[in-house]
Amino acid sequence: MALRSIYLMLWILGSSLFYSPLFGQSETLEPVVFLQQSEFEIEGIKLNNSSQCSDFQLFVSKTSSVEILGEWYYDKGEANFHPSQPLDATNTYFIRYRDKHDQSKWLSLTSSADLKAPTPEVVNIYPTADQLPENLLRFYLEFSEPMLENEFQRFVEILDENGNKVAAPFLGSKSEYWDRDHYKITLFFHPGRIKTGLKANELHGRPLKAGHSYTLLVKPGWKSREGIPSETSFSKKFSITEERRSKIDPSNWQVNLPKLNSREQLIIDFGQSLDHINALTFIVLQDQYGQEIEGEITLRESESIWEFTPTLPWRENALTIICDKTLEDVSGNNLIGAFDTEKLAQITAANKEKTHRIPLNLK
Amino acid sequence: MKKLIVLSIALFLAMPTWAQSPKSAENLIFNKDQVLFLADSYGGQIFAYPLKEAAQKEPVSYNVRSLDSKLADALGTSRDKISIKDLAVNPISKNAYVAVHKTVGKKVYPLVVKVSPNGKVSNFDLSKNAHTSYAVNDAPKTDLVFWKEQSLRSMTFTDMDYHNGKLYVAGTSNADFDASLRVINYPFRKGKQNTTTLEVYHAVHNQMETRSPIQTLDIVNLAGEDYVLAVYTCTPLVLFPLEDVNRGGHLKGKTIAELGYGNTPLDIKSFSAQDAQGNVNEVSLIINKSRGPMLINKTELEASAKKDGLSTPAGFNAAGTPFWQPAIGGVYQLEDLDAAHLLTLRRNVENGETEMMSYMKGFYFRLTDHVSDYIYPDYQYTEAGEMWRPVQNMLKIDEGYPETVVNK
Repeated sequence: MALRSIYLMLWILGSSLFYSPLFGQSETLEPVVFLQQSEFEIEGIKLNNSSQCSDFQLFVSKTSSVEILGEWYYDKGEANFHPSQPLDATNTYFIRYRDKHDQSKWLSLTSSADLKAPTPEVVNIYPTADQLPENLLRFYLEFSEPMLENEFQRFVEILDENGNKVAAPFLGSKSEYWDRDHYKITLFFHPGRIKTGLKANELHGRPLKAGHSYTLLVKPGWKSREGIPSETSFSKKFSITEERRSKIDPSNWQVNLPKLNSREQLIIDFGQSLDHINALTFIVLQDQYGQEIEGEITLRESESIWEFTPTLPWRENALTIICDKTLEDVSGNNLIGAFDTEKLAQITAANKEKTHRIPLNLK
Repeated sequence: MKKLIVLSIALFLAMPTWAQSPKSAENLIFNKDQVLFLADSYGGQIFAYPLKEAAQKEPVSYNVRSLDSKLADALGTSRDKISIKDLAVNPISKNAYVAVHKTVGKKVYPLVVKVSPNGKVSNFDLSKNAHTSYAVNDAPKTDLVFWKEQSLRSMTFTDMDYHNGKLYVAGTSNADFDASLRVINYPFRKGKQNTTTLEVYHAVHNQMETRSPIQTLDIVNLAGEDYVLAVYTCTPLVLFPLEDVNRGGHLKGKTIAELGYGNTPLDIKSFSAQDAQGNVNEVSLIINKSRGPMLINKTELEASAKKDGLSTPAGFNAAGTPFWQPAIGGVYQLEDLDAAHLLTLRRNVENGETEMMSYMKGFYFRLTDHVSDYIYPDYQYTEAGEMWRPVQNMLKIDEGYPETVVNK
């Protein structure tokens, strides 16, 4: 069970539905928020703009004389309730309090959350390009929900032009490679078949052949951690081009500079697709003091364009793109050398500097 | 060699641990020094919470109705989402502690709530209150489920008692003989607990049995010897000398009574009680799932301990140690509250609610449960019956109806 805290805005006061007809007048407590642990469990309740109200009490019904066990605490005009154990999001709860005129008021709380856990879907398949090199190392499937483990071999297939299954393309290990929250799985092609000179490669060749078209198919029925199966299939059509075995050369990158004092995007055009996780994690921007600049990265055009939108406007003219030299494209080539290069160790030794730096000057 | 490795892993697992909270809460007891012990069957652990509550020196009575609804309200849920697992009384403060399982969605939360004599419910935080814990090394690991409902793992621990620095914990182990009695030192310390596997003669089934665990137990001293007095399902009453239990290994009990077929005992408590004539008796009281309560005099237990145990079929009859049936029906949890009272949880047959009710020892009934001639407004005590007036007045006050006291 993923214990991610979701702030659920339940309802905005002002809708007369939620007022007790006994007490009439509306209050200015808005909005009420549940801190929800899972679809079924509420771990806290927060009431904004409640500084003028007092004596908050939480009940399961208006006729109950027993308060729900837990603690109320007040912070920055908010009244917060932490129950002694999670509350049930399928229940309706009632808050009694005194308003600024010292009148007793009731507020009913109903979770508007869809109590059935959502149906999982594949939201992205990486790489997003529809032409991929023969020595492609991996696919990534990104889901809308945290998923169950040890399912992928049952649900993922690659079909050729004739609809025939490509035999065992992926590393069929018992462990699966998920991100921490189980939203994204990495599907590795069998490395022995991708790398040249290995027995698996000589015996079976590469799983995908240049000049051919394929479909990656994710079949329905793959369950989320909440036990809800996906309902539809998801697919990606792509064709295979010649293998790509060349070092990434940053001198080919085109950098579009934003204007100083603006929040314009800083754009890097790599001129080729990069592995999306590498592109999101191995390139950062630093100011002249070595501080990382905060902002959001978007990848476009099959992960060949990197766009950075700063949180704050650009204030310093001198900044540096810092790129880890192990930044990879979809075939595992990096700034040090081509993937599968025999002299990689020597090249690594010669490149003691771990990062590639591109100084920039904004105007 | 393989055995050695297994043993060393077991030793490691049996080390006391801190700052963990229970996965379930099947059993609660206090020792005399206000340490609250919680047996977590699903987690295979015992937790100990030392408390320091102020002493309550006067006798107290409990007259708490609709406890299920009160707990449901306090826990922000409905009656069907809570299940009461056990009751324990702090012997110093006389506050009641109730183990509750609360269901939210698909999860079950083990909780302990405190109920004071005035019926006020408050939370006892199982993670924040200072505690130590001890993990047993032989909890059953199977997912065996009986009658589609009761899992074997819920019976890792069925009942426990504390005596002279040791916890005696009945339940089920993963040994060849499933029914077991674990002896755990407290304060918890590093090392393997001593587990005794048990075997008893079952006079209704006419066979030796090793699987079905002790349902409830109490440690009693009979003529200078300490015993585990154990009650099994369907319903053998069995003695195990404490010395033998402490030694460990495999132990055959002495079946001193067959209390009746088709029954699961729920609780046993031994205590002293003054009767209406002022005589103090040492007794053991057993409450049951399918039969009425059974009160056994200690002198009868001592007589049975001297004799051979049962070894012939009892059929559908009770046999061995005699017992008397007091009037405390519907009770499913039992505690020794103070010199004058027992504390119970009982099921109200009209509305299905749990009631937390004390009973006066010696009388073993609640006057205010019944409508009899005595309570009619113009009732006149007879000359012979006059002796009951002060008794009934005392019970009326004790049970929360002081306004009904009738003076001469």
